[in-house]
Amino acid sequence: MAATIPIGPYHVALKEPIFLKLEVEGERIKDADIKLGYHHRGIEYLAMRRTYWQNIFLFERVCGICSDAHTTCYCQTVEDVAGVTPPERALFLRVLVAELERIHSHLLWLGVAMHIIGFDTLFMQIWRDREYVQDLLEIITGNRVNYAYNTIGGVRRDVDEKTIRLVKKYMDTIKNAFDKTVEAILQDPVIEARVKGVGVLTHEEAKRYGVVGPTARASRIASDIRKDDPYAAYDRLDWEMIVFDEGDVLAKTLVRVYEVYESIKMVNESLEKLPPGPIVTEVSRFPPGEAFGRVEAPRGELVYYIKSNGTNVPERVKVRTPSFMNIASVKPMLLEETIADAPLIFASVDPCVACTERVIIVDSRTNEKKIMTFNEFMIRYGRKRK
Amino acid sequence: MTDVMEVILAIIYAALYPGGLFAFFMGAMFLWSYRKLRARMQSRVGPPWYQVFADIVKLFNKETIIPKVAHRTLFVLAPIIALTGCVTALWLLPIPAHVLPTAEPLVSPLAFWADIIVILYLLALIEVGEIVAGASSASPYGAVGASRRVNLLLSSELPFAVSIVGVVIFMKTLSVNEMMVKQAKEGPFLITSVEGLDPMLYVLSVVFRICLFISFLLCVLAKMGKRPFDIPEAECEILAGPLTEYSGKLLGLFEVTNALKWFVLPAFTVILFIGGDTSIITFLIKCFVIVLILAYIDIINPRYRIDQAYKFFMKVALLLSLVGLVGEMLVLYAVVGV
Repeated sequence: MAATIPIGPYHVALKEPIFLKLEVEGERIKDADIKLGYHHRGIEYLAMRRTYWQNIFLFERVCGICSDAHTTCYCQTVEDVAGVTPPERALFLRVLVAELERIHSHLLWLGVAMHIIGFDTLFMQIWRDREYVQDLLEIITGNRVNYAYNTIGGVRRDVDEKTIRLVKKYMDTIKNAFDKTVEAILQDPVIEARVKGVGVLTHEEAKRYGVVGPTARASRIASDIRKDDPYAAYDRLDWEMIVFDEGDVLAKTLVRVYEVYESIKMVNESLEKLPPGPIVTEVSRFPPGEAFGRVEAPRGELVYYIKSNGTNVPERVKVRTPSFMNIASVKPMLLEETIADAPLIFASVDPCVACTERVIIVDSRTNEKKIMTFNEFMIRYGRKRK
Repeated sequence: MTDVMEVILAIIYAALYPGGLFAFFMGAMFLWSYRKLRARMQSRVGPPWYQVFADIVKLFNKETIIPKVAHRTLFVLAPIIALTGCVTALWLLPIPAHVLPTAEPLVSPLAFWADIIVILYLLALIEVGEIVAGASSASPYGAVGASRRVNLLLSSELPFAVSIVGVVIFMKTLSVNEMMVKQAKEGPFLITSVEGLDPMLYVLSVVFRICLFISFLLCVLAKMGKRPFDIPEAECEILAGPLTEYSGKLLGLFEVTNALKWFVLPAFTVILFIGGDTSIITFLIKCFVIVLILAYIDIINPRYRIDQAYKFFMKVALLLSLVGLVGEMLVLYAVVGV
């Protein structure tokens, strides 16, 4: 007998509204359906109504966790359109904040994963250590969450000697605390029983679904925009890409764990190599043209496309978030697993629903589904006419 | 006249001490100390000492919602079944009445020669209450929670019973009361010796008894619904499991049961394994130690999956209890030489 277990749209394990419909026999999952569309905000449409400067503020708010990745990508793409290069110091500072953000994002995910397998003690401790990163981000940028650090042509705030010393001190603290956490994760037999061999995404499936970021790197796909297409100052830093073969939840966990170490290394290195100079280049006009930019957000490759028509308002901004690529790959991971593992498997791609929402049109007569951008939607069904 | 006195004493026994209010208060305190310890070990502040009472008072003042699709009778009956099992088991336990050690332990009015078997069933009744709750609530989360509870009950009951059999064989009695009296004379079960036992065999026998004790504690963890066996209430997967649809007074009854459980199960453990108290103070201290052990295991562990828990009980807990039981019997055989 097959039963349907609904997980979501509102569910304790999911921090954001998404709907997982699981067809189960007993505890075993036979089919899975993932529905999005509970959280559409029309960001791309709003972006076409605002100036380039106002849009920084808007894209800061696409996602609360990787807000720096979004503005970095947006600012880089606009800089490409405007044909300016930010000063060296700004590039290193972008790396600094981006890597701090990666540490905080990965620790956040690790905590949530531990919570999902019921290890609340480790969850609390990981989040306690994450507070150090949040403090650093607040000291450097002025904000804990939406940092408002990037601007077109550079960054908004500089760091002084005192801050650099504090960052280095805190990095040591975080590294020491994290060492203990990792030891606990690697040695606990119950954790191993819960994550090893669970939710496997094979190399072939991963390629077929086109997954990005840590999800891809856990399935033997060596793809990292920081290496493949270096932006900011990543080509001047010494770091390694973490790739695992297994593709299970353990591999996805370990990729993130070792990336935290790499990020700590990069934060320290970017501060050591920090060149003197200005932190922002003036940008005055946006010539017609188009640009395509990508960065490695904590969840994977983030893509922005911007088309300029010479005014101070972009003609089109397209955002493709990493979760958009990753969420679909949950389906092959879920099949033949148990309900108990479903939230963990779903969380293992670190889905960021807020970033991902698209309008989905379902034709009930033919049961045809079509995904369209908000602009198309408005042209077809809304007030806007061609 | 004596009849009237006996009735009054029985009522006091059932409602005030040690059944009823006293047990509820102590259970709430144990539950609070678990929550506080857990919070402190997780770098949190934790609840104030009256939190459990505040929760229950709040729940009893709230509206009780019974889902239309639920089986109404069973839905209402489920918390009552659980509470009945818990309270009756409590009434059968010989809990010391005096503050200072005395010669005569308090005998429960309900006690009889084979009450340990009844207690075994009554403790299972608590879980049956939860299973009925989950199954009758017509919620998918409740149904999955109930099925997991059944699995856990089936797997943990066998090692639980085998451990108890180990104690019974050593004590040569089925009465919990007599066990308490015997331990008061000869020392706690875990470390007591039999006449004519040479030191080597004594150490071996204690090791076997510790096997029984560990297996028993693991089963108690499953009965309390604590990590790594809190699978029926895994909130990330199935919300509150069997209790998902419960609210108001019915949920309040479950909370009362839960608080009582925090006294009954540690007390039962103490009576079986490290008992022999005639003073309530040492008894409560021993209970608290058991609570601390349970809390510690809960804090340092994540949650097993249900199939893994089943395998764990069959492979580890059952094996431990069987080794303890058979070893204990062999040692006794060597001494008695039957």
